[in-house]
Amino acid sequence: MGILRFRVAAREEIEFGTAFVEFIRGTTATKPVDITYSNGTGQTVTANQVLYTYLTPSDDGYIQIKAVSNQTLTGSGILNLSMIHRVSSSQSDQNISFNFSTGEISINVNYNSKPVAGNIIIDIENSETYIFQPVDFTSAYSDADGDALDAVSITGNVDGYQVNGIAYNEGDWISMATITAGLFQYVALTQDAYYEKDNTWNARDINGNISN
Amino acid sequence: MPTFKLKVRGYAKADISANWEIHPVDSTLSNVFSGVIDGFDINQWNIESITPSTALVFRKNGIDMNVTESFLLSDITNGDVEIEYFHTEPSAVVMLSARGSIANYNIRLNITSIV
Repeated sequence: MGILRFRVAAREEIEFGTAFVEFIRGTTATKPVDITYSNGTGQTVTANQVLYTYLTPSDDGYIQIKAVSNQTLTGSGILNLSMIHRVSSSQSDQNISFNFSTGEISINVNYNSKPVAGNIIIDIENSETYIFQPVDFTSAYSDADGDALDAVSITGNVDGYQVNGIAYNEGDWISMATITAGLFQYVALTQDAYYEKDNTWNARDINGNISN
Repeated sequence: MPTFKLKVRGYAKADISANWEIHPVDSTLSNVFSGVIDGFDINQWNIESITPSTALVFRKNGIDMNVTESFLLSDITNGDVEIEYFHTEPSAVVMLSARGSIANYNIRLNITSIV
């Protein structure tokens, strides 16, 4: 009798690189997640196809990962995903891994917190120009990640505020380097009567996160 | 957003004048400024002049103070500041500059010895 032999080819596994994404604690956001792949053998995804879900939208920690568009994964390329994530205020960095076709998708999720800015009250002498110091702002600033204060902005009626001798524009960011150099000043009104100037302010940390 | 407030101090043009009559038994006064500057929220005083200079002395923590020295509200409330009037002069004038939370003031104390 002859021999009937079957040769079964080993199935190639599609391979994915590890992706990285960052979210802000205490927020819900959608971020793009682009993942490199190789050994694609024609796997397909359709637009808005859900690849991974964890918890429900009303839960802290909720994650849903979807395909952005129709794609056929052949050879090497980039798989475009989007990740919606509801982040608690205490979320720690984590890795999310799940299977797709014959491969495993791995996403490292890092978290950062917004800085916290507190109320500031500064006493200023009559009819003088006050030169702001970094401590005027750092004393009312904190960041859970230890990120340094990078810049401040003032909103409201900003008459009298100057940066490097030029009238300050409401909402403009003033770097801490500028403040350290003594270039952010307030020119008090020339009057004898006591008065108060009320504004609001925002802090921005070195990662670009802005206080509420 | 958090507030960002500037409190710009005023400058009082008018002097504050107070008249004291000091009896021999009261030659040493503690907490002398209580009631004199009510409503002005002053937290620091600077001795500018004492005329005649021999009429009295300010003391802080038992140590004689010189003109141009200063004392704080806390020094007063702690009972650490006193004036001793020597009654060698019938009257004296003390000028102080004071720093309040919203303004600076010039204070004149007209002191009369009652014997």
